[in-house]
Amino acid sequence: MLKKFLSKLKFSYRQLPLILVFMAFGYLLVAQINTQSALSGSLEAQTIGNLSIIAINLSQNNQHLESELNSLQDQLASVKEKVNSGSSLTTSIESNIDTLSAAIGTEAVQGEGISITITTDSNLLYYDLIDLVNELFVTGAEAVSINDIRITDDTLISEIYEMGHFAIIINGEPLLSPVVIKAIGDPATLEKGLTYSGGIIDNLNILYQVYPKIKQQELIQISAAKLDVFTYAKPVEKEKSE
Amino acid sequence: MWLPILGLFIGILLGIGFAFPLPAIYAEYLSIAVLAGLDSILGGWRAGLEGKFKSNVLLSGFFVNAAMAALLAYLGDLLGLDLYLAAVIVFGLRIFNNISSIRRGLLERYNIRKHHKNQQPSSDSQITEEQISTKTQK
Repeated sequence: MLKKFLSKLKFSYRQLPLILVFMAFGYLLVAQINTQSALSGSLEAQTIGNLSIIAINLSQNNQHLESELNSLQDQLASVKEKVNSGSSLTTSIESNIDTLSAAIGTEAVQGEGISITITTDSNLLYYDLIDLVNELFVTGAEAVSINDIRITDDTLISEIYEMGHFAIIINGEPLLSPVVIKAIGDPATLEKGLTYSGGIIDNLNILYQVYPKIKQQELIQISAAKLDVFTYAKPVEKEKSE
Repeated sequence: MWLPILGLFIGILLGIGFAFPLPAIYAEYLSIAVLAGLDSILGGWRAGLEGKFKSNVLLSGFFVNAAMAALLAYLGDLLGLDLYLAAVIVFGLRIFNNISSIRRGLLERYNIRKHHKNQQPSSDSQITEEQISTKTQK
């Protein structure tokens, strides 16, 4: 069968080297063409014009990407700033709240100051207490308490007539002896404010025979007042100036 | 005649089917090897027309020339000389020489055949290769 086919093709073994050479040549030719076509696609094979176009395109791409990167970095920075300012706003609000709480007396406070003790057998009247407290605030007291009742703008110091004599009440509660007034502030200034000649202590001593004992202290603790809850009063909204 | 062309096609198909990835630095050597191979084939054809064809000469010439040409180009790279160009020029000249010889040989063959036909129109026009080549040599 094979012999018949070969004889039909006029095959002789003399032709074998020729066939082999042609086969090898065909193979080499295709390999070379493949390699060359692969090389012609490479950058090395490009003309200067093509290379410059490629370079321009690449640099434009690069610029585009860089500008995108820059804008994204800006965005990131602004977002970070917002986060930071948000947290700093929270911090400042918290510190404001602390300051205001201390000022209105809803926060327990401590610090150096003076304590004034008035013993039982004295002719102390409620307006003496009011004068004392006012004098203390005038001389720079930052927090004042009477028998551990924090004095705020809402504190009521008064008297009632009961069982044949007047009794001092603070916020409706009767004041028990001994009366201890605590004030936080500069101790020396506070004491001076009370004890200068012709001052309130002098008056109490001379006119009413009340002898308060003043003592400077390094640490005075004053408890918090009860927080008033406003039911009817609402803050007036500020007009937006836009 | 058809079988070598069939061999060429088989070689081309093999090259397409089993293409090997050749590094770029060897592309030059392969190209010079292809040029040498082409020169050998054309030389073989020419020798056939001249009646001097020897298959072992073609076979050895093809592979050795191709290998030597590639080696020469490689050596040139090593030495920093463009021996590659020398090979290209030499093989190019040889290829053109071979082509012109083949052309002349084929023309002569054609003329002889024509002449033979005119002289003996009744006789068998088939002439063997050997007869032609002997006539060519004369």
